[in-house]
Amino acid sequence: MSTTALGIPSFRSGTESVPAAEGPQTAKEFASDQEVRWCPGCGDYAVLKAVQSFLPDLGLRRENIVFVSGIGCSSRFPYYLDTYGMHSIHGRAPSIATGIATAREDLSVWVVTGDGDALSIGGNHLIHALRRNVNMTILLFNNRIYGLTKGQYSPTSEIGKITKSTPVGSLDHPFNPVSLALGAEASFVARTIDSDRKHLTSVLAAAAAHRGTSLVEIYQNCPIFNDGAFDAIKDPDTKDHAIIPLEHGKPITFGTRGADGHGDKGLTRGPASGIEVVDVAQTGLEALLVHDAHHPDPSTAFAISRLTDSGYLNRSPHRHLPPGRAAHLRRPRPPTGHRRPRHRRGQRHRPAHPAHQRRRHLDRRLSTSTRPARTPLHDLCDRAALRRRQGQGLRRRVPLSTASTRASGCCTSTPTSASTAAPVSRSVLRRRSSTRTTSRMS
Amino acid sequence: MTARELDRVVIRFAGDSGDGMQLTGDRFTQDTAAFGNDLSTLPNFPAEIRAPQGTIPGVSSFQVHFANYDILTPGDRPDVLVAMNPAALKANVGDLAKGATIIVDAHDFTKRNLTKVGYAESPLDDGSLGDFAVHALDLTGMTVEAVKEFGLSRKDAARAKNMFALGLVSWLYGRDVTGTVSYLTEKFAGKPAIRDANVAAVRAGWNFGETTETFAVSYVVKPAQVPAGTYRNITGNLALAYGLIAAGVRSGLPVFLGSYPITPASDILHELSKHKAFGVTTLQAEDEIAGIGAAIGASFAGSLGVTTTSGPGIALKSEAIGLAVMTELPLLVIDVQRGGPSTGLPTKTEQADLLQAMYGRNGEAPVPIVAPQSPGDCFAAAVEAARIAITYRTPVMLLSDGYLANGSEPWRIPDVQILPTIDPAFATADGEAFLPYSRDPETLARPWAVPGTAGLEHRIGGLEKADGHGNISYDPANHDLMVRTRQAKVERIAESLPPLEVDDPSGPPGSGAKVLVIGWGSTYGPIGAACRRVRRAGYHVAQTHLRHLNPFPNDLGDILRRYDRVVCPEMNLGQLSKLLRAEYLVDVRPITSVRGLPFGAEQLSEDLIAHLTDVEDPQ
Repeated sequence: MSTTALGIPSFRSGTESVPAAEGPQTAKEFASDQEVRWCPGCGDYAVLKAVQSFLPDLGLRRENIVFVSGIGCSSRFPYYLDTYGMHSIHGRAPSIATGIATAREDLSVWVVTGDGDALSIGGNHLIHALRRNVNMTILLFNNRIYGLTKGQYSPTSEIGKITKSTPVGSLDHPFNPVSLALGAEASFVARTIDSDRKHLTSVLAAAAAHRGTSLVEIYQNCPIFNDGAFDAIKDPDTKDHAIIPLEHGKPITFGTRGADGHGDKGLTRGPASGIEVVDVAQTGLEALLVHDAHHPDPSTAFAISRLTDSGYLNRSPHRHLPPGRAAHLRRPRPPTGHRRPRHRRGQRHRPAHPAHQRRRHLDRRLSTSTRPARTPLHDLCDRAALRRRQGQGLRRRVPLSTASTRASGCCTSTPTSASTAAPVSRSVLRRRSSTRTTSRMS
Repeated sequence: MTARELDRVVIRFAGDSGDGMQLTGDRFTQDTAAFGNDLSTLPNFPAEIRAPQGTIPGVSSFQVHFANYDILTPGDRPDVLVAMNPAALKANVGDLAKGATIIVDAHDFTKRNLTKVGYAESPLDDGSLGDFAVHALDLTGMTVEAVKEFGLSRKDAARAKNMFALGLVSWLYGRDVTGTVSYLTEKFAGKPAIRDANVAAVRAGWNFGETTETFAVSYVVKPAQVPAGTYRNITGNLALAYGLIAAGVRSGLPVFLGSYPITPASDILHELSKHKAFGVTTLQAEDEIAGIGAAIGASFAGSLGVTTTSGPGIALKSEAIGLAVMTELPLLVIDVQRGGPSTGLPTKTEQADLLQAMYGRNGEAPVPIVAPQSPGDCFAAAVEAARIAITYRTPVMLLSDGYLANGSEPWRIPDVQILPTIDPAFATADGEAFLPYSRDPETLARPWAVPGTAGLEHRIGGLEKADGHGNISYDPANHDLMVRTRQAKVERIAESLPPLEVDDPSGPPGSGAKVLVIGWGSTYGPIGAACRRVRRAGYHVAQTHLRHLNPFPNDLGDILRRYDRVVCPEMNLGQLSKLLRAEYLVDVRPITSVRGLPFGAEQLSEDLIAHLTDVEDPQ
C-alpha cells in the first residue's frame, strides 16, 4: 500500500462555494411557520434566536442552507428554521450531513446536536466527522443532562451527579467536548454560551467561515433537569473569574479587569506540563501566553481546554499548595451507593468490599496527571447548585465527592466576550477541507 | 495422443489459502470465457486470510464448470481435481465423480503433511483412490526447475507452482494461455523476475502436458452456441457495481455510495471507487450506520444514495432504513448475504436475510425487495432496484449473496440505450405552498425536492409527518393514514411489474405439470439444472423464479393455485415459503439447505422427484 498526493483544491472560506443571496435577508425569513415547543426558559430559544438573526448576515441563499439534527431537545431545531432540514435519528446527524456536504459543495451544511446525541450514542460519528473535515459546522448544545428522556446523566455530567438513573451519584467521568474535538484532529473548535448573544454570534460567523468541519460547543441551560448548570459563568459576581476569554493575538487574561481591560490573572506555560495560572501583577503582561488560534500544533489549545477540567487552577498562587501535590490531580474515586459519604469517612473501620477494591485499583490505573477529574467550572457550577439546593432543602443530594476538590472560586476556561473574540480555533490553515476531493475516489 | 470431445467439464483447483488457487481458477475461467464456452464458477475459501498451512480449514478451492451449451450451475461433482497438498485432497475427494481425474503435487505429500490432516498412510499408495485416475506429479519440483534461471529464492520459485498447474490443465482442455501470459506480464510489470518465473511456469506446465505421456488423452469442449453479442466474464459484485453506474447514467443522477467494508460485499465498494468519471462518489465510512447515513444525506441532496453490506451490516443499518422509509427518500440497500447469524460464515453463501429485509425494522416499515438470479443478472437487478427507489421514493433492498457475488459467468454486455430510462422528476416551485408529503396519484410517491431549489424549503425527519404539509403530527387518524399509505405505495409497485414467467415445457400453466418449483435469488441455477434433470427423467415440472420479493407480482397467487403442489428450495429454513403461505394460503413445501454452499443439482433433482412421485401417487 502506498500513498499519493491528492491535489486537494484550496478554498479560502467555508461559504465560498455556496451561492450568495441576491438581496438583504431578515431573521423573520429564516423562521418557519412552526410553533417553537421547548420548555419555557430553555437555552435553546436563545440559540435559535441568535442563529435566526445571524443567518441573514451570512448572506447565503436560504435554499442552499441545510440543517441536520439527531435526536434530543435541541434536535428539533431544524423545524423552526425555514431552510432545508432533516431531523434524523439519534447520533447520526454528522454522518447524514457528511453525505449532504460531500454530494453538494454548493450547500451550507449545519449539524445541530446535543451532549447525549453527539458524545454518547453518536460519539463515533462525531470524532470521524472531525477527522474527515468535510465542510460543515456542528453546533453541540451542551446542557450536561438528558432532557428529552427526562433527566438522566449525560456524558458531560459531572461525577457524582444525582439523576433519575443515578440516584446515588453517577460514576462516569465526563467528556470535555473541546478536548475531545482537539484530540480528534478537529480543525476548528470553539466554546460559547447561550446567554451571550454577541459572542455566540461571533463564534457562528467564524465557524461558518472556516472551510472544514467546525465544532462549536454551546453551553446551554436546561431549566427543568439541570437548572443553573452554568450559573457560575453567567453570574456577574463570578463570571469574570470563571471565564477565560481567548482572543487571537492577545495575551490571555481573566479575573478582575483593570483599566487596561486586562484581568488580574493570566496564563503562562507551566513548568511541568500544560498551562499555569499566574498573578499578572507579579509576572507582567509580557510573560503571558498570547492566544494563537491558527497554530498548527493543537497542544497549547488542548492544554488550555484542560483548564476547565484539570484542577490546575487549584495550584494557582493563591492556594499556596506545596509542590509535589500531583496526587491532587488524580481522578477522585467516584462515589458509589455503598461507600460512606466523604464527610463521614474519617477513618476506615471496615475493609472495603472486593468490588470496591477493584474499582480503586482501576482508579489508580486511570489516574494520571493528564486525566484528572474535577473541574473548576464544575465546582463553581456545583457550588451554585449547592447554594440553590440549600435554599430548597436538598443539600443531602449534592454529590459529596465534590467537597474536597472544590476550587477557591477562581477560574475556568471559556472563550467568550470581547468584541473581537476569537474562539478556541486552531490550524485553519493547517488542514484543508476534504470535502469532495478525498471522499470522491477517482 | 488422442483428443476426446466432451460437452461439459467440471474442474476444481484446491490448495492452501496461500497457494493462489483463486487466481489459478480465475485465470482458467478467463481463458475459458475467451474461448467461448458457457461457464459458471464457485470460489470457496476460508475467512482466514492465511489459515495454518497444510490444514483442512486452510483449504481454498475454485470450481469452474464449462460446456458447449448453456449451463446453470458450477456443477455438483468435479471431473478433475487439482490438489496441491494432502489437505486439499482430503477436503475435496469426497465430492468427486467416479472415474474423475486427480492431479496432485506429490512434492507436498510428505509424512508431516499427511499426518497433519490425519492420513496414516499416503492415499497415493494405499489404493484408496482406486476409483480415480490419479496423476501424482512433482509440480513444485518441476516448477522450481523451470524457473531456476530467474534467480528467485526456492520459496519464491515454488510459489509459481499454481501457474504450472494452470498451464498443465490448460493443455489438457485445449485452453490458450495467451490471456494469462499477458495478465501476468501486466500484474508483475514492476517485478521482472517474478513475472518471468510465472510466465515460464505456465508455459512449462503446458509443455509438460504436451510432451509427457502421462496423459493418454486430452479433451475438447467446443464453444457454446449463444445469442450473438459481445460477452465478457463477470462476477456478481462486478455486475452489481456496473448496474449501479448504469442506473446513475440512465437516471441522470450522481451515484453516491456510503459503505463500510464487509465480506462478501467489499468488491462493490472497490469497483465503484474507480468510477469518478461516471459521476460516482464513494465514501468509506467509519461504520455501517455512517455508511447508510451518508447515503441518506446524499439522497436528500439529490444523488442516488447507495449503501452496500452483508447481513450483520443490515442489522446495524436497520434504524436508518426506517428513517429512509419515513422520509420517503430513494435509497438502495445492497445486502450480499452470507451465512449467519452473527458473524456466521463470512465467506460462504446463504439466503437467510429475506425476513430481515422484509421485517427487520421497528414499526410498519415496508421496503421493496429485489433479488438477482445469477452473477450477470446482478446488473439488471441493480437497475431495477434503482428504478423502484427513484420512481417510488423509497429505500429498496437488493438481496444478492456470496455465491452470486464471487461466482462468475459469461455476460452479454447490454446496449445501454435499451436500458430503461429513470426519471427522477425533481419537484419544482410553482408558486403554490409546497407540500412535501403530497402524493402522485399513480405511484403514491411524494415529491423529491432537493436543496438549492428556491421556494421548496422544507423539513423532513423520523417523526410521523402529517399528510400533505409534512409537519410533525401525533394525530391518531393521520398516523393510521400514513402507515397505510406507505404500505400502499410499496404494494403499488406491483402494478409496474411484468407478468411472472413460468417455464413449463409440458404445456400452459395448469394443463401440464402438477408441481411448480418456485425460488428466488441465486437458487435459480441449481433449480433450473435440477428441473432439466427431472424432465430428462421423464417427469413434468414447472419452474418460476421471483425477481421481486416485495411486493410479489400481482399474478403470483393465481399461478401458485394452478398447481397441485408448490415446492420452494431455499438456502435458509423456509423463509420464502413462509411468506408465500402467509400471503396466499398455499401449502408451499420448502426444500432447505444451509451448508454455506449452493444447492447441488443432483441432490435437488432427487428431492424434486420425491415430491413429483408423491403428487402422482400419494401414499
